[in-house]
Amino acid sequence: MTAACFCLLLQQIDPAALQKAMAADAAAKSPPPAAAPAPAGSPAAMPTAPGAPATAVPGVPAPIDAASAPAPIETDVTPTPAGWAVQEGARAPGSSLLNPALSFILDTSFGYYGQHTGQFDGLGLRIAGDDPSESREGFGVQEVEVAAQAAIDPYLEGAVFLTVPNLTGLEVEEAYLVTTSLPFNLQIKAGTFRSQIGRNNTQHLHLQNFTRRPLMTALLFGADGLRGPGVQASVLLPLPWFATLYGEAFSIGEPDAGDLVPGRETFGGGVRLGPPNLTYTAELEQFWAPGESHSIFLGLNFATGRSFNCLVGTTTCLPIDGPRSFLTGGDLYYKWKPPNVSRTYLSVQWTTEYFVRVLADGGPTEGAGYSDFVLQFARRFYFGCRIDLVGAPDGPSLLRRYGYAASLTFAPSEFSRLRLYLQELAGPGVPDTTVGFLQAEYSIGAHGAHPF
Amino acid sequence: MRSLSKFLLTASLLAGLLGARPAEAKLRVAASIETLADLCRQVGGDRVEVTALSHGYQDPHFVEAKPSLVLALNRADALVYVGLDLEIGWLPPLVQQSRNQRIQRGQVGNIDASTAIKVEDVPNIPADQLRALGDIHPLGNPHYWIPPKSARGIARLLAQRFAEIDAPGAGAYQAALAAFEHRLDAKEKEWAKAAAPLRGIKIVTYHKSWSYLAGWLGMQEVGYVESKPGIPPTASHTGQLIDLMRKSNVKLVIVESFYPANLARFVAENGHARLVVSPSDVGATSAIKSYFDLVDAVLQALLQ
Repeated sequence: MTAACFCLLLQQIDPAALQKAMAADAAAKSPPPAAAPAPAGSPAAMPTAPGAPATAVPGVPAPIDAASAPAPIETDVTPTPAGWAVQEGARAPGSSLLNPALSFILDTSFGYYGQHTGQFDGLGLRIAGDDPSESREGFGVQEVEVAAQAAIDPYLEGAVFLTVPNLTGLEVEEAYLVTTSLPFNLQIKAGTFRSQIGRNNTQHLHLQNFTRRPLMTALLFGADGLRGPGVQASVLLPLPWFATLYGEAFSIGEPDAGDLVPGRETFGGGVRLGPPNLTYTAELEQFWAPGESHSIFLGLNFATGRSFNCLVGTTTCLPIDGPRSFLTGGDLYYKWKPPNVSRTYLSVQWTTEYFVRVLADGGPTEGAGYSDFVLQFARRFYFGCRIDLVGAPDGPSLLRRYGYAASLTFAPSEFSRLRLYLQELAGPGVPDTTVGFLQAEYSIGAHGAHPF
Repeated sequence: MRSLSKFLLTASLLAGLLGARPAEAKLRVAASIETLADLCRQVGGDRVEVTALSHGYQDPHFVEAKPSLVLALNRADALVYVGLDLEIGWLPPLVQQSRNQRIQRGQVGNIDASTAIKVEDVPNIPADQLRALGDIHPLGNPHYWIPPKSARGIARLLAQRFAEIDAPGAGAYQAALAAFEHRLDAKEKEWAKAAAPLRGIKIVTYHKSWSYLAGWLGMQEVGYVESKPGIPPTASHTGQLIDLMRKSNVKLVIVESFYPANLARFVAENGHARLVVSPSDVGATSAIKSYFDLVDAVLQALLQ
């Protein structure tokens, strides 16, 4: 930066004015007319600073001889920077016919789980499958995701998402086919996939605005969320606004050995085969856009399955035919983002979810939820804060706990992010615990865009 | 698997029958940007009902993939888009969610306008190094819709596709196309004459999105305000760009009206060039209602 300032001074460019203009663009607030920062009557060109040949500037082609003849109108020869060429009908170099869109996403982190290292479950909370591992505090690779997406044939599209969470082994996060051409606005998804329930449950790690998922997700949906082999049917309802109704059936297995913790799991009990033991869900998603800058997304959700109980004090957990569990909840997402970035890059997102779990045969009623707020305050900066509430109402498997999280994200480009994450966990009878992580995330390859 | 295929085939045939348009119904077209929407109206006339999925004052790279757009796509007989991955960040999930077979890839109603133009700026560097150049478009430069040659090609493609989807209207589409081309020919001569002073001048643009226009008008691109496409400029890049501008006698710094113009203004003033904040799409301002208005407005901004 010092060298850059020196070069600017040699060129009689005011570095402070330049910084001001760059900052104004980053925050994208239209300047008042008087804000033109250029020094009046700038002298003619200064010699190029030594060691800074103009031709070496990325994105700046070699200077063109002022005496060169003007190009005629309708010319097909446009001066282009190095690395570019006019190629009619050319295919992107390196692309291979019939290969799916392939991408890799890495989430790496550095941090700690505070005073309860190795005993996090004792708080009555859980580490989600793609949270940084409690057993690998310090430097860790939170997750590596490999994604492949392609059209299968004229009727189907397919996707496979493989993940390696915390360097512990390969998991199939999702692998499914989805129809594109059924009548009556129907769509079928089949394979193993994330349930449409709630908002956070549908999202992969790299869509999160925080390093750790909401506390509710692992406690109510399972360590990896509600996902598994199953089938989903959905219909776009013929209404004047966007409304889609989903119905799903899953075979949810018992939790992985590594995820077994004392307490009640909403799903995963019973044997996997047979309709009585399947997990069923229904979701109604609706969307309204009251004005260009405003978006409201409302989900109403229901799920029922066999609960799984790992008794407190036992060292091994057996799949127990737990009573049927009923999970009911709502998710609300509001976003304010003006469509024209020349006015502002400011945007606001607010997400709230709350779910209640009821067990059959007089079991306890327990609930949990969260609310988060994310502010984009400059082109590449986001600030987020989240409040988690667990155990409202509380019960033997959902003790009253509070979480307060904040994150600051810097996204150098669409394909990389740096995030500072802090979380304070508290509750009756347990000491406050501070969680802190520095997270880096990048994506390489062609990763498909995500739904709203 | 065979029974699944049979089911899907039957279902898609059923979908085709159900999706068939009544003879008197208008052709419903969804266009990704407003310029394409206007070209659809120019060629389709009263036979089409056109919805633009984005607005001319938006950055077309970053449109919110709002579910409300799914409804327009669900009902569309045709989808017209810029292609070359311009809409890669928002259009594909909407098309998948639309549950509309008529606009899926490979269908006659899926109209990639870039197939009608000569694509430029295809990066010829190894694929694994592409992102080192910034957020570039691997399939080529998608900012092609302003020059008349592009509009003519797109209009011809639209007339052909509309006639395939709506055979009874083939004559009307051909007639509308002929009228459009007749007007375009006349306007093109007028524009070429008006733009004569721009021939040979050197320009700097904010994003590499004016190359086709520069090619048409004979302007020479010397550099870009962005360090690399989609990457905000650094101080050193800006300083070197200004130095280059002074040495090369750059006349104009062009920035789309949807980008913040503070830095472009700084570059222009320090590089002794004039800042041109130009519309780049129909609808960029309320006065720009058609393709012809757009080119008029762009030239007016350049020639001020």
